Amino acid sequence: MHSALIRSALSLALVVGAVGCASSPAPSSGGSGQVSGAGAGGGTPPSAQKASTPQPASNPTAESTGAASGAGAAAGAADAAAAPGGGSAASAGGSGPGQTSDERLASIDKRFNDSLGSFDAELRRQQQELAKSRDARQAAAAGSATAATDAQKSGQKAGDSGSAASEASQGNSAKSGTGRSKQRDHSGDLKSEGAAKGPEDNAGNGATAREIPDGSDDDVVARRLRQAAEQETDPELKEKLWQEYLDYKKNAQGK
Amino acid sequence: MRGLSNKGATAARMQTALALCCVLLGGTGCVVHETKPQPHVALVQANEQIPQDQLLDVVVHPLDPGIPPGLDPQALEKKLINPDIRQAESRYMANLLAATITTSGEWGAVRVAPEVAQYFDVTVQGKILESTGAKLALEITVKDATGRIWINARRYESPADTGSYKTDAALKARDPFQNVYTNIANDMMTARKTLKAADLRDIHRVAQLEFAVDLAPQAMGGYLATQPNGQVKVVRLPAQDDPMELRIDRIRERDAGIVDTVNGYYANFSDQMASSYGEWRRASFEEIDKEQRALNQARARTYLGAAAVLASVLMPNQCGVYDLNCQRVQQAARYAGAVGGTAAFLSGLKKYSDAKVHAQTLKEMSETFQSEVAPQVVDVEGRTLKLTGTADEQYRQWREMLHQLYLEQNGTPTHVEAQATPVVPSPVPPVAADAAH
Repeated sequence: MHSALIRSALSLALVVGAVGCASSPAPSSGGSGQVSGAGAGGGTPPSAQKASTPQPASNPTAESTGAASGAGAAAGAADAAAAPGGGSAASAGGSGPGQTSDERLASIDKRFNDSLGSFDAELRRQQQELAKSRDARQAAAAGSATAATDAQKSGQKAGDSGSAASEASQGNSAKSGTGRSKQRDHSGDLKSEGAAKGPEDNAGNGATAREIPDGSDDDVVARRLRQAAEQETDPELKEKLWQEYLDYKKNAQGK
Repeated sequence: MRGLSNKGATAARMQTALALCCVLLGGTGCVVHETKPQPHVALVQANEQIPQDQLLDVVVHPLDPGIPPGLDPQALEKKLINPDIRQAESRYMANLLAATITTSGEWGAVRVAPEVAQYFDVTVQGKILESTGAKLALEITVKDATGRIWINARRYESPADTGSYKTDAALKARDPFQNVYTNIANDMMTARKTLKAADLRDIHRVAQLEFAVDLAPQAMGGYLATQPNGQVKVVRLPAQDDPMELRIDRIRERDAGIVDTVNGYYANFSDQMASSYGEWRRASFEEIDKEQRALNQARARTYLGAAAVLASVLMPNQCGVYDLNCQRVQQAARYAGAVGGTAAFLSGLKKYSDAKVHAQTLKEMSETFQSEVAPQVVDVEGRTLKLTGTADEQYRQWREMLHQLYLEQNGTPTHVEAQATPVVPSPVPPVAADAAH
């Protein structure tokens, strides 16, 4: 009987011990990798987090781990959606043979968005240079025309009254670098909603009063504002972001 | 009696011949290439708002300079062809034509872009057949995205409107050959008006889908079909919320930005050369006119002078042996004919040399203008090639990404490569003035 009691106690102890081990938090090397990945750029979506920490769904410890890392990853994904250009390192870190289709899709989409943003920046730079050279030339022409105005005023008026070509050529050059002269209504196009916006976001703004600095001396905040403005596709938001960037630069220089 | 009548007939014939020579001499010397201000061809402009979905975008490619291959510089000079000036004109004239088309108000965006730019609603291309200060002749072809040809290698030409050459202001206000561009624009509009609204919408859809198919052939294939007559037709449309179509739309926006930028390069180039080019054309018109007048006078004087000398030498003796008066008159006539004819002949030779002087002046003016404009051509082409080359590389990357996206969406796993470096070209360096040669 004594031995039976001892065996029962031992069995009970074993059972209690097993239950206690199962309830303690399980260390997860995959989770820490995702956190570091999220910390690096915040670009990994929640689905990537779940795939890299292979815990049984019924395991409460895994769920709590997954929920914690998922929340961080969701914040990272939201961050990536707001500023896709900033997370380039994360996508490289996130790709791998173990990814799901959604993860790969997201990764490629991110690369796609990043490439669009970079291309936008370069195109904007070219358009601004073009606008500056055009403005400089027009200013020089206006200066020389003013000097000769007294002698040729009547002839200029007579010449300006009837010609399509002169006005058209000036109008054409003035329109260059500022996007298409007529905004297309896409209602008759392949789709009517979510239509491509006009290319004003690519338009050079050299003809406007605002002069955007080149950004070589931007700090972290200014750089993020600039990237967000460059990559924004909504014209109103883009305008606001650029204004925010300029205001920040002005204040930062004022300090 | 018979001798007297023969003498009279001969004298009458000589008088007639001399009179005819005088008329010819006077007439040829005075007849010159008269140039007058040309009547202005009116540009037909839109008198009502055109629905947005029927507005067609137009691209005008820089014209073929029309330089005959295999000719040496002397042969080109004789044809009044300066290769560098023609290269500049090919872009300048394309810009003028685009400006004229824009002014009509019948079209969407009208841009000048090189031939690498594709998938536009309407494409205008052409060739310079003749271009001097006195005359312009172009051959123009216009077609739409479905393959329909609107204008098929049609010749447009005009003499210079001398009214434009009268003052600097007149030259600036209206191109001397504006009638050519206006006629082309009017013909384009006439062709467009023969199409129905559905045709116009189809043209735009075909252009969009062709662009999409070029970027993502697997994803966007099957929406277009080529008919037996060679025209392209839309057979079905993608879904309104098709994610691939949305991505392609975003690329299309960038494409529009590239075309706008390139158009800006060409517009800047045209503005830059407009003043010098106008001066050169006016001066070349004057020199060509003077050279032609001198050549006309030279021909007349040499031919008639030679004829007069021959006539005086070959005039038969019509006087009797003892008719000293007649012989004196005859001798005087022969002497006058020879002297006058020789003088006319020599005068004609001088006119030939005058014509050469004008030709030489024209050549020197052309060389001066060419040295000014050639570096500008190199600069604009360099910028254009840089931008389009960068775009080509970027498009290649976008095609790859769209292809991967398509495969993923259709359940074919792909290996996601390490992120491709976004293409960020280095700034276009300024072109040195002597880089053209």
